[in-house]
Amino acid sequence: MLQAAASHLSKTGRVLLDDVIAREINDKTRIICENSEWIAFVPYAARYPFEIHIAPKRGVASISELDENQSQLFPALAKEVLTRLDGVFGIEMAYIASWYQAPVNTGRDSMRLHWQIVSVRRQPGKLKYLSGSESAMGAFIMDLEPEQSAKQLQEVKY
Amino acid sequence: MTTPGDNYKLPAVIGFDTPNADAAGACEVVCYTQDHGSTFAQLSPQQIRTVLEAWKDRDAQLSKLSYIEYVFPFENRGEEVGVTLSHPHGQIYAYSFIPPRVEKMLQAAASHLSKTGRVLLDDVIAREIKDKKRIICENSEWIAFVPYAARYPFEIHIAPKRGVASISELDENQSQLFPAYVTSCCLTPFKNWPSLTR
Repeated sequence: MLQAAASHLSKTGRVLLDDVIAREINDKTRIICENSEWIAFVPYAARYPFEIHIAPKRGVASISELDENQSQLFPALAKEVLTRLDGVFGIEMAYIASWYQAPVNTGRDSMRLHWQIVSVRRQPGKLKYLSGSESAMGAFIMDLEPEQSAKQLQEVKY
Repeated sequence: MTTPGDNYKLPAVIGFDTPNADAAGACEVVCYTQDHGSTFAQLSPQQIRTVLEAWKDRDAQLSKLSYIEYVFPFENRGEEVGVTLSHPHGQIYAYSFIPPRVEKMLQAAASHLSKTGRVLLDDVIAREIKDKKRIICENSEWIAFVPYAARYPFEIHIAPKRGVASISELDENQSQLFPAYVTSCCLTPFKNWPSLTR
């Protein structure tokens, strides 16, 4: 991530996550929800059956840098995202929720805080196993397109 | 996924302007035996040699396709890794790109070569031979070891001592010494996993 972010910054002068968010806003189809400070979307190249990235629109390097307004608008959005995730199949989804942020001593100009929530649940009773292609090669093969899982998340009544 | 023509090429990656593209590649199944209840470890040396020759043949053939950049023979075994077909079999995926983990390996190998003039896996094997304690078994052509920084509870790396770039380059002597060695030394202990002490 750091390499990608640093390389993007040096090539374009822009922060990678800013450009990722701009693209998602432009494409629209993969956005799950947003408010004035936060956006949640299924990324263009999702690696898991259900994968949601949540980022502050005004980028910060690390979580302790979130200001009052960002902090105040986070809970409602987080609740909506996780409720939608559980609502897809009407079961508590197993997930891994990870905060990615800039390292303590480097990359603070290029890397931006965001939250990634991924689930290997592809259907009730069915898991996506990370086996040969994913574990050994790092090449993720998915059963559904990001736009399809985004649609399922969007269609949950909230 | 379709079988593309000879002019298939992945588009150059140009950041956010990279266009979508059709996937290309190959997925093949390698059936190990007619015996439904068998395992790779229980195959006869002759059957393993046949499987090895199938891998070599498919690697050589798939590598000739203009749209293939990487050939990956592998086996997923067990419900714990999501296998739903219990008949002993492996698979071959051929990708139209270099997979991310291989790209990283390639970078490490290339950097080691340019810094030291030596092949990385040769130096890894030399270190394992020197350390001795992580070696599981070896013969004149092959060595099996738990790597210095293993990432799984059980992880064994098996390599020919005379390095080759790809599986189809294994010569007659290497091919002949693979079957008996891989079953007796590497796979049979897995039958007794909980009590594996060696």
